[in-house]
Amino acid sequence: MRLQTTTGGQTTSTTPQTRYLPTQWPDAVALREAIQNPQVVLGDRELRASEILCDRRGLPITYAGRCAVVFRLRTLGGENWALRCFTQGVDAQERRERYTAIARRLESLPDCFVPFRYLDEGVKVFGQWFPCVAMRWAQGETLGRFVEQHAADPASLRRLSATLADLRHRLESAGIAHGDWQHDNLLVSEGGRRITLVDYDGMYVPELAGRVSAEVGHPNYQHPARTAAHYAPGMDRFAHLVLQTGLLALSHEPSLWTRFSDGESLLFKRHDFLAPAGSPVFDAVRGVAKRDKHLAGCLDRLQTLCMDGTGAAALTMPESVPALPQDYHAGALKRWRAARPHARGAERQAGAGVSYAERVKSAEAMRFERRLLWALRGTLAAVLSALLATTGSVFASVMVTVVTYWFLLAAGYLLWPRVRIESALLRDLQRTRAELRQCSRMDSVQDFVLYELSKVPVERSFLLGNIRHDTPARLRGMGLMTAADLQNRTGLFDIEPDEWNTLNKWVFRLQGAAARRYHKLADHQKPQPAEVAGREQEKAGLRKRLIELEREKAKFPNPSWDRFRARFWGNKPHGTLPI
Amino acid sequence: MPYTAEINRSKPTAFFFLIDQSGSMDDPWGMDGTKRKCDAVADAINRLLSTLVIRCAKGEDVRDYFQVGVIGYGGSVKSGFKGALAGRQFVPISEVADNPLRVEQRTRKEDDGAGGLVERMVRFPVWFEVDASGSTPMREAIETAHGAVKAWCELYPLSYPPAVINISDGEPTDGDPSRAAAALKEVGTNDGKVLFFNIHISSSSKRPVEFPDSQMGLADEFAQRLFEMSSVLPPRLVDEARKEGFAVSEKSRGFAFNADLRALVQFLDIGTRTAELR
Repeated sequence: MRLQTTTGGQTTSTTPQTRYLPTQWPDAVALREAIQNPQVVLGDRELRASEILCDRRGLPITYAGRCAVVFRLRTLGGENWALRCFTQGVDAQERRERYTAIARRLESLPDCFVPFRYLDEGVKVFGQWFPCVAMRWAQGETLGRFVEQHAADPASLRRLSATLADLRHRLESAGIAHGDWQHDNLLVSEGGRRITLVDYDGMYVPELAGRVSAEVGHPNYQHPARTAAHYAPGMDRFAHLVLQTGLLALSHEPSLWTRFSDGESLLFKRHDFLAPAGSPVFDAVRGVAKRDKHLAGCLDRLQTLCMDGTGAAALTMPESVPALPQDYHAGALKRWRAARPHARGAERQAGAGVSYAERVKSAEAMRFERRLLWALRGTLAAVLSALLATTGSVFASVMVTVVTYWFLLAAGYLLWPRVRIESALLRDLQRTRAELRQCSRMDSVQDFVLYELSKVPVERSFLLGNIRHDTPARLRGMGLMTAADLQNRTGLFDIEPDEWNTLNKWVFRLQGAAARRYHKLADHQKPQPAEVAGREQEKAGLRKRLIELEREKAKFPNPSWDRFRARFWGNKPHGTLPI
Repeated sequence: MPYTAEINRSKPTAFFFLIDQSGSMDDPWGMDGTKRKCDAVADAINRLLSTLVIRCAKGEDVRDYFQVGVIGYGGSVKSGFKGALAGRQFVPISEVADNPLRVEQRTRKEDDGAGGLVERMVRFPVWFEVDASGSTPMREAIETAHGAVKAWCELYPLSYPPAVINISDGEPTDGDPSRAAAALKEVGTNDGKVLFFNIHISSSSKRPVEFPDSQMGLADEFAQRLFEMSSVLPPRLVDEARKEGFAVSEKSRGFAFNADLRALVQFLDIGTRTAELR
């Protein structure tokens, strides 16, 4: 067993002469099967004694990357490690040299990277050793998740943007570049003040000058013209500019998140870089940029770089990311309207937006709560002292104050963010339940009838007797386009009752005919209109959302009246309250 | 350019498997007599479902990049999923990951490095179960797939087009499936037509043919018909197949004749590689 320790800076093992043919690399399933017996298949002595973390079905928890899978191990000492096993091969020798060089250089920046070691004899599959990289488990949540949770918290987003700028300067002054800045590789902790980088496959360190890049990064963060030849200390600049522009834009307009993010990018995507002129994202951000000249600067820069077909500018320009003034991130923010996603669909698509419990704990809500409590306390004290000074009667003053106290407390309780957020949660829960019920009630005959009726335009009603020539046009004017829209209505404003009767009978006839047609069809002939499949999808989505909401409700902080009173008196248990 | 759409959670892609469960699947595999064909196919499909789940896994969170449907045909056409997913047509991959029929304990024999073999236990999730009886209604199965995939494409017009993968060991008993296959291949999204792959698995020990680009060398009329039915590989898949060591050309089709188990697993793997996932 050879352990290649790179954290110590010295290489102690001999170079193996093995070259792996691409087809011989184990795939993710083979690796997941092997890793279930760490004591047999792992080479490293410390890891061999560790426990592999599994999901509730007893299968190892897996993180899929482009050319590797990552498993999570816990050693006997309780340390968490990530074991990165490769599923695609470049030359093992080449990869080994790269990792060794990177490990040595990263010692100078221990707070942005996690310690790791390259293991020649990492994991044994099909009786053969394959190399892996063991890295200490990094703390924090991915940048994508962080932004999702803090989309309505401009201060956090700007703080994160400042941390990113700082990180890039530190890397560049050390002559290092990461090469694949993206939402899953940047782990954010301490509320956006700290970033840890993971996935070092594409890293550049001065020792690797002259080689080509092992990978070209996430397409939604890289200049479209970036190739493996772009391998220099400046290669994170474009991705940084993309992130900074996105974060600043979101800090002004959180709704951009629900409109443009699908979990694979931070607003901008590769096709936006290819054609910034016609891109809806660029358009939307341009609209927001009118409010902030620094954001406008970033956006202009990004657009200019995108127009440059070679992408060389993104690497060589001394400063491609406009620097922001020192006080920009700390500066006073405008009063913030907590942005709630507007459309349910968009909300679901964006991973259900910001969690309710998170919203209670958000800086915005906490600040409001603090201010509210102090305002109440201040008013109460003022009332008491004013009464004492003016009336002289202690008893009367205290009585009035007690009444005022209960009144103030009741008013404050209604304004308490926790209560308001809880009622929003309950409303959401109720709505989701109702929708799911509605969704499940529909059966396939109704679907079929709806589908058939939606193919009949209202113009066809013109053929009926007793229908005025302009009725179809009026129906269209009301947004009723097909016979399906006329279903289940008792009447229509602006349509004569006898005309409405005729229409109603017509729709009824159509429904009957469609239902009869459906029952005549053999089972396998029954069409599968998109609505049926769509309903299934929607139901699945709603079910998922319902589970999420139930979980939220379970972990929601106590919003009771007693709790609020306790907060008012500074969190003391309520038995000791003087009133 | 077709077959280049980015796959993400709002624009997932789909895989639809048609699996022969007729009586003849009970016979032993041509290359490896110890295994029945139906067992081997069930193993390959279960392994592939694991692969698809892992491709979308970020920790305990499985991202819905894919939707998967399985139907079996033996005697009649029926849903391939059982248990919690029974009767479902397209199932998001996160639900697939959450609802295996069971997790089996299997033994794996492995080289102990000293010339001997050691046995160890591994956990193997199972979604699709072995079944082998009745006739081979392939035409009907393809028609079912046509209906399902058409509805799917109406729902996700911007997605990477779905792939339909048909695994069979013999001739259909319900007539010529060519017309049904042609209709199926006409369906598509804005990003391209549905990809239809066919895998013929063998009882004989004839030399396997994978990704052929002409009918030359295909043993019988039925093999030629299956070749005709299969889609031409999009350029990206040609590259992927070449990377795995197959001899392919621009005209290669998604067809494997007399495939052995290794080829079957590899073919399935290549057939489900789509635009790049991150």
